Amino acid sequence: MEDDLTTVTPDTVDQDALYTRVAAEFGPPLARLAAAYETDPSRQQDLLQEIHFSLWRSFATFRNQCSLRTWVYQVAHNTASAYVRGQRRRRRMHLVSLEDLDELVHQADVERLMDDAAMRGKIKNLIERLKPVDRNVLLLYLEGLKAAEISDVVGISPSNVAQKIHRARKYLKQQFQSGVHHDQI
Amino acid sequence: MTKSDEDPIQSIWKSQPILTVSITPEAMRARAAQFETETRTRNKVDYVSFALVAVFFGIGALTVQGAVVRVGALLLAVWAVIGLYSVRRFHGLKAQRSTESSPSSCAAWYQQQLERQRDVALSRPWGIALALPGFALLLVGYVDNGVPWTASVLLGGLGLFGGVAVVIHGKILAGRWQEEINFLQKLRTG
Repeated sequence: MEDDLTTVTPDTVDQDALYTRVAAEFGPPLARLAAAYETDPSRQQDLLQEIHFSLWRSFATFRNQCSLRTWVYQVAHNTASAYVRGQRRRRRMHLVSLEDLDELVHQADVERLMDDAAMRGKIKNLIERLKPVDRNVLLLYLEGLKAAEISDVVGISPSNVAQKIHRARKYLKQQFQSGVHHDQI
Repeated sequence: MTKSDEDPIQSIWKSQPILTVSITPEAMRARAAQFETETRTRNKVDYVSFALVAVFFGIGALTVQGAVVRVGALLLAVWAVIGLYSVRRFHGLKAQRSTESSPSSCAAWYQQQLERQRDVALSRPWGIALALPGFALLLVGYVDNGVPWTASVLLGGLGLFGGVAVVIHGKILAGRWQEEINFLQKLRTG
């Protein structure tokens, strides 16, 4: 976050209205973003508040330069990235994966809750080990954004985004399979 | 990504329990005011630190015995004033960046962070180098004033070792960040 508040003054009514709208509309994705970056509940709450605060501040200068969705995700992800950099505890690693889990997930209906939680744990573990841009791509993919939208937010080409998503899915598939196998043993 | 809406992994991700926050605009404004106060206080601490060093060596330049020591102290006082000016300029640039009209893309933002870190790491040796003449004169002056030369050499050696360590460390970090910057640049333009 920047160390200045000069952007916070004009047009406070619109700023407030916009923030209220965004908080309602993007509340869950923002909360999941905070959960992806921080597992400790109290620090997660702090990060989430920080993201909301950054968004509120940023709306003082929002003039439809891009779509509201792109704006929100850019501010939120940059705030979360700054938080991680501040924490100085993340490591670098390779890319991710997600796709062919379909069969495994559908087969394990009885254990669905446990498996979902385990899977989310694996995803979070992966996110923690990713480089910042890859982390952004995966999280936006998980939120259901298309490659073109992710490209707008992250600032890399759609083909690069697609490639990264493909790798992420592949990696997570392997992780999920090994996890289920281990649990079943 | 035609199947993205059907991907079970996205459903799993979205079905997680989440925290909720409810912050009123009034609370936001209160937080903004508090944040601004904290920022100003932190900036003031930076200014006061450099100012104290400048005053300390400034007084030393006027009061200590020996022309060489005085000149050394004066140079260090000037160095602190330059440091004060640099910090003010740094804070000014930060404030300017925060008034930019739109946020950067994630990759651009990250690249900017790395470039800033690289620049700081590379400019640090210059900050140290500017203090060297004053520091050297101070040591030479002490020897002139009767302080054992071994003590001055030891102090000078320690200072030199510390300075070289900072320079090497900065170079290593800057090189590492530059590699990451090049990678990001390629990703953004590729």
